[in-house]
Amino acid sequence: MPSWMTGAFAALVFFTSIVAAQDQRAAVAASFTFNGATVTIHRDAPAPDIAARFGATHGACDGPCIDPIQGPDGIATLGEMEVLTFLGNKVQDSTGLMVDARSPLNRAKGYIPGTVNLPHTAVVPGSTMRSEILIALGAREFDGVYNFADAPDLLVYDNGPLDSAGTLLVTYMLAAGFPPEKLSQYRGGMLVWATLGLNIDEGQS
Amino acid sequence: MTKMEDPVTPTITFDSYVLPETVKQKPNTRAIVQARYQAIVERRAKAAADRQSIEEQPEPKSTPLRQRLQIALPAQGQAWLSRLPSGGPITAVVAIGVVTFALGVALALSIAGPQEVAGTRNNDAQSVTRQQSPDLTSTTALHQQEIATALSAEAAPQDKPQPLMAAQSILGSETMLALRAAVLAGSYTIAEKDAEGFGRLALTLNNGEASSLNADALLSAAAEQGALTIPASFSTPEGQMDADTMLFSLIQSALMQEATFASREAARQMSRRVFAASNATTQKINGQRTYAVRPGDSLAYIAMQFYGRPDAYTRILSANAEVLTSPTEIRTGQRLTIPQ
Repeated sequence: MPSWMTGAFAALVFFTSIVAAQDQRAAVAASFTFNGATVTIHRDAPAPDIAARFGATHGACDGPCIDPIQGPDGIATLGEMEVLTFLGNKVQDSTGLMVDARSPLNRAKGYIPGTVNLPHTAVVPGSTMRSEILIALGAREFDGVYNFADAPDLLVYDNGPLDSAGTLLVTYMLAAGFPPEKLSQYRGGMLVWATLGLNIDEGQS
Repeated sequence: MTKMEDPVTPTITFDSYVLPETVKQKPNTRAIVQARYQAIVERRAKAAADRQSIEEQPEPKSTPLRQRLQIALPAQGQAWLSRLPSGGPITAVVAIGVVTFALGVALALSIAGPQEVAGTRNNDAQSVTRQQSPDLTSTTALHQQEIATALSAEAAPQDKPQPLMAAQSILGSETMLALRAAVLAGSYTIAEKDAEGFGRLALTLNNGEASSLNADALLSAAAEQGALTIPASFSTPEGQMDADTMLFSLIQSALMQEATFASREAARQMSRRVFAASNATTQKINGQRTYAVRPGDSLAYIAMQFYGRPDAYTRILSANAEVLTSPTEIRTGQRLTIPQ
């Protein structure tokens, strides 16, 4: 085979992959029904003062306070495209729920549309409202143990890699017996979401 | 001479005068002192009498008091006691003091002694109870009555009487003994195993013996031979026996019958584990929690998953009285109300 043919073939493969990538990148949008209302995710949102809103760390920690890419107990870590798929499929079917692990005060600064607030402090072991909240999530309770067969899949997020709220919520849910295969985490959180220009909602929810 | 009556100043009589607390004499101080004095006098007299009686018996080895004195007093003290001169008021006082001390020690010992004995007796009693309790780990056969009670807990009213001897031989078999011992030790897992395409919760042992312990086969074989009548709550839509749940129920009932703290706790732990492990999903229909029956389900199996106990199937049966008059009428796809 002549060398120019090999080169041309390589170039063709190269450009095809670029086109494919561009196609995928252009598809960053989602529309789904949540609580009876249509929610749309798009990328033309005005950039907020991201660092000021979502850069703050949660709690004290020694050393670098950045979440590792792998969450606790091997639970899946999702990127933005997977989050959009989760919203468009599981949240749409009511088989999944995307939950904000931050405090209501932090959430009011901006949150992903179509998500609910589940502050990690509410399900900390020993919390008085833990049982009530887990049952509201669809858990069954018997003699201090929970069964989550009827509970939806949970996608947890927080301010971002600098915030430990999401990881804490995941840890507490696992401690309550929530099956790890039904749990996933959006590590980028509000910081990356807003940086990418994805739209957010603000205020009380 | 008559005294002039003052119309303004009230007359103070002795009755209306209240004595200040600080001035009041303690009313019974004198009595207490007197009683104490009397007690001391009596005790000294008694001590003197006791001493006399001890001295009168030169070698009272069999007297417990003497023995206790020997234990209580150090050797030097005893030697000193023997060297004491007889007579003289100081000697008498010292002797009384020593004897009083000795009596106190003897009293303390006599109190401590029986307690020790009582403790030993309690231990004996416990061990006796333990030996007499039904223990499936032991090779001795179980009491028929206990098996009957264990099985009747599962039995629906229309069930036939249990063949007790057969059930006894099954429970006494090595397989069942190993299973029950493992459950008591907590070294077991309740997890889904694949059964004809459907995940079914089953009890397996952690120590690797699980594959050799084919308790399902044991129960199934016994049922096929007619040695074991299956309670109606363990029948599946296919008309077969739910052996896994039957096994769970037999072990749990036996543990609860034993009624020791450890066995009841183990039975409770079984409930907790099976409840947490269940993958049964429900739907809300008209505000009622409903469950769609899957192939291989029995009413006892469904009850075990939602209430932790196979014998709680009566709750489901009574809640679905319109569609289910007997546990054997269970059908695949049937929607059953599961009361909260």
